[in-house]
Amino acid sequence: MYTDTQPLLRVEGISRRFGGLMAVKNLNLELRPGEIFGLIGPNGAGKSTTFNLISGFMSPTAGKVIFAGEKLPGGKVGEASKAGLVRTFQHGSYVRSMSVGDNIRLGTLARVAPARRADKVRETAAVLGLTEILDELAGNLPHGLQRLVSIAIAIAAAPKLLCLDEPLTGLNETEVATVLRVLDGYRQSMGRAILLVEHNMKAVMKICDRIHVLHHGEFLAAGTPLEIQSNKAVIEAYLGSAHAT
Amino acid sequence: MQTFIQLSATALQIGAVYVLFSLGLTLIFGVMRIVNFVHGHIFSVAALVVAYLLPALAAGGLSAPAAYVLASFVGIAVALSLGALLYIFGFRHFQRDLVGSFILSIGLVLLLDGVLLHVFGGAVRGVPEIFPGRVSIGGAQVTIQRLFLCAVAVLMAVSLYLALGHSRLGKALRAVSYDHEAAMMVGIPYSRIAFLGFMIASLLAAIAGVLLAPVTIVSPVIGTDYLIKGFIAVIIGGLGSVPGAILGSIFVASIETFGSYYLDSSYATLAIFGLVIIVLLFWPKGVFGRG
Amino acid sequence: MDKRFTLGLWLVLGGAALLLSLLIQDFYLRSILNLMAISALLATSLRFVMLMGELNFALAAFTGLGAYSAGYLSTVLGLPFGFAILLAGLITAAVSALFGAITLRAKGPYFLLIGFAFSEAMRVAYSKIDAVGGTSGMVGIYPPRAFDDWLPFVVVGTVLLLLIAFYLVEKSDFGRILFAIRENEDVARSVGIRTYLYKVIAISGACFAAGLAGGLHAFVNQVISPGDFGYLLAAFALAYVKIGGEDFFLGPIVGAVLLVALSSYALGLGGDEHFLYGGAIIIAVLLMPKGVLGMLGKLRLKAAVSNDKVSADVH
Repeated sequence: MYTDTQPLLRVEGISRRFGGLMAVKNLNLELRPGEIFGLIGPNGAGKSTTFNLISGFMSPTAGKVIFAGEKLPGGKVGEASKAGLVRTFQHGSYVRSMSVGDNIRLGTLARVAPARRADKVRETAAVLGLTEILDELAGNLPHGLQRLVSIAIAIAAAPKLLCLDEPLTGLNETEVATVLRVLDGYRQSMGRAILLVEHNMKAVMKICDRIHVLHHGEFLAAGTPLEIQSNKAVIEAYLGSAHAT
Repeated sequence: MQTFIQLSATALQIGAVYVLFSLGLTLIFGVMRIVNFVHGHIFSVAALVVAYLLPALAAGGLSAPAAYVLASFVGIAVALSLGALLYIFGFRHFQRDLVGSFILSIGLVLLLDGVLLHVFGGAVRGVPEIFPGRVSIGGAQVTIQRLFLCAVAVLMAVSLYLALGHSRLGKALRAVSYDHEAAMMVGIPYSRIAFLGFMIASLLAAIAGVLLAPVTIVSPVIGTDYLIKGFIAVIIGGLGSVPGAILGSIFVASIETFGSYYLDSSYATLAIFGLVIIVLLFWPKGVFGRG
Repeated sequence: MDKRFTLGLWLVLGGAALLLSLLIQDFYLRSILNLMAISALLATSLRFVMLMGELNFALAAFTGLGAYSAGYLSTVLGLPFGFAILLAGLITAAVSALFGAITLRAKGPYFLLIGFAFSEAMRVAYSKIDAVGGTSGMVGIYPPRAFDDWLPFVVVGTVLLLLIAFYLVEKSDFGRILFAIRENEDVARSVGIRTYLYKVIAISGACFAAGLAGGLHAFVNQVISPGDFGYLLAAFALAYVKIGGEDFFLGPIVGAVLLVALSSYALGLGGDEHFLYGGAIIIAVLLMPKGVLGMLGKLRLKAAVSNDKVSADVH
């Protein structure tokens, strides 16, 4: 029986091999309800692979993922998403030729009751400032708004764990602030948590409760933003660009 | 045992034609990502030209082999011209558009069926044997004509496989097949490569046509039957894969030959389809298809 | 699109079709109308599956299954017309669901070719089964006497009902999911949508309509044979969709009406209808990639733009 005191997500000894390459090696992490968890690391560290492993888009060659007390079968996206683990994609995480409103509605179709869907779309759009453009085709929007739409789709699915894959890429200051505000508000809701893969260090340090650093597919360091910022190994791994945005 | 050898020989002969077809289909798909239904008509045109020209030349005084060679050249030339026309005015505009190119090819099939009927008439033609005589291999009787066909098919398949692996053009074809955008970025002239790929495929079909003309009854519709089997071979083997095309062709030819002998040709067709379903269950992109 | 405009269009076009089916007495014209209706339904069924990004070439096989089922249920088991057709549709829906569950893991060209191979295999199967007439096919599939005058009305009416169903589903959340599957299946999966299940349901529904169309075909023609249901049937349906315009719900219907009319005209000239069909398809594909409706849309846009220009000049 899953209760709020247990970790929402537990990753035990996850590994993923591609032929001769170990993209992710023996990774362990724990995510608690109500927290914003950051996953960072230099390029090629294995963040995207880890993301895919957790969300079921790839199956691990070893280890297991336990979400809300249930072990997730590897490589089954349906199981993870039905259980409330919703993720976005780095590129084009929306449907180009559907309107913004329809895109957000898509997010509601599996996990929100039919009667509640229209309201959920309106609420989610309002929270992300998309109410004015609900009828616009997603493909016609500027990049920043498209990112907001992707996030809206994921939020509309009312996930227990919201997994965002580099959501802030290409957003301007105002848009970044909007997203951070939304994520902060989301974390307040009962039992919700957020897993964030990001390169924007300023934002990561600002919003995350805990951060996990990957390097060459392995665990490098973990801790609060303050701890990570002063961690020598991390700074070295980033070649001194730990504070870059 | 003798039956087995005889059947295997027949399967190999039939397989040879399917190989020539499926190599072309897989090449076109690999390079252009299209399914070309009118490919069979290139074959038909070549065969028809030979079927009509050969008797005329022979009657005019040429020896049978000489007439055959001349007729074959003409047949291949005509077929290649048709292929070039189809590419330049049609398929070139539908690269990477599966639905559009497919519909275009269906339209062309309907149109060409009518054209071929008009030009060549609906009557079927037999072509006199060019290489008469039979040969006994392990107790099985094989006509020299069919042996020649097999030999050429094997030669073509091996050449294509080697050329793809080692020649510059081959490398370009493979690069385009794998990732056409990346290929363009490194300077490979995509349009020219696509054209060459299409023409090589047409050449293979044309060769199949002139090789088959002496051993079969030539009518304007023979292309489609081989085409269907060729496509099935390519699904089994994996679109875009040369070894796959060869593997698939041998499978289809074997089931067809052995199935027709032990059961019935219709059950053989059903068995082939069953095989396709089973293959796709385990390899949704064919045995050697790329992910 | 304005909701009232759409409703009005349905009423006008549907009403006109039904009216024609009642008023036309000439036998030849009635058969053309039947053919147009059935073709429009098949083309719409094909387009429905295209919404999720797949070409359902097994359409021919399932139309045949519906026709043979209806024929068998009617001539051998003696079931009445309505039951035979409905049951034929249900049988086809069930078999196509199984087919889809197995084959939909293959995508794009593979799914296309396996549907094609399946249609050819079924054609061979029909010619082997003596119970349904073997190669000579089935004869004597008569609609009830009472329907003699009303057959086109029944056909057009049934087709109209199914078209309405297709339209409503396309505009619903189910349709949105199919659309998302075509464009970005991963996003749909990531929010918990069981996309494979939706694909199977979509195929099953589309083939239900195809089976029903097959049943109608059986009763309208009273004779069916394996050759009726080869790959050309699906090829023609695809042509109707493309020529009418695949982006529009009305596209396949417009395409079917135009091409059936064209081919009857060609037959009247004593010409080869395949040749004309082929030519029409090629011209349409090369010159009108968005189909007739797409072209009309562009012309309307041009007219609107030049109108604006005129009014701008005036002011």
